Amino acid sequence: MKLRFWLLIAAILGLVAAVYYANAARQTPAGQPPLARFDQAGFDQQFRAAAGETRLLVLLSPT
Amino acid sequence: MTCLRGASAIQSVLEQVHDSGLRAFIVWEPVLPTDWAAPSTSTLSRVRDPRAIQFWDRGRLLSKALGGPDRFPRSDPVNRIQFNMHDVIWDFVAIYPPGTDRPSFTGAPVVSFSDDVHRELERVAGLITLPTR
Repeated sequence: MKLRFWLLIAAILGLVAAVYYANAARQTPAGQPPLARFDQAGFDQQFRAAAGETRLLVLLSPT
Repeated sequence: MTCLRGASAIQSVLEQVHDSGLRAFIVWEPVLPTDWAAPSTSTLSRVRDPRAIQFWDRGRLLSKALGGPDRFPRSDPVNRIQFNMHDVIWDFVAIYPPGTDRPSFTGAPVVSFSDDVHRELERVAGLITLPTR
């Protein structure tokens, strides 16, 4: 019974930590715009706006 | 993990290429089972160059818009793709010279091609001239 109680507490704490991590603010380094949620139209607009420059495109997994 | 090393490799390249007419679009997307949240501040700091813009592409929309991995066949000499990406373009770098929507170089995984990316960026910027074939 006691073990079940502590397992439940651990699960709740884990869940709270996961929710906190998932919703924690993400900050980009100084000098960069904030992290943008990708939307195709907005991305295309920014990509095209930089068409006079060299563009480096990188797709990465965050872990 | 190779993606994180790839991000650091891109930062190293950017530190060596001083072209102010360069924009880096860093798009993070969920691929691995551990990718259930947007990149952390620590992860984002791996690419700290101010010429970079970073995105979180939860729906992997860009990969789809680019046509998926089949759009970059390994047989094409422009594409230096060293692993099977399956159904999503990831751990991938492409260089688009000014005025064109066709990349002059693509590579995957990123960490394997940092030297090539550096050379291509400098070639495109006209900082060095590579011998022509």
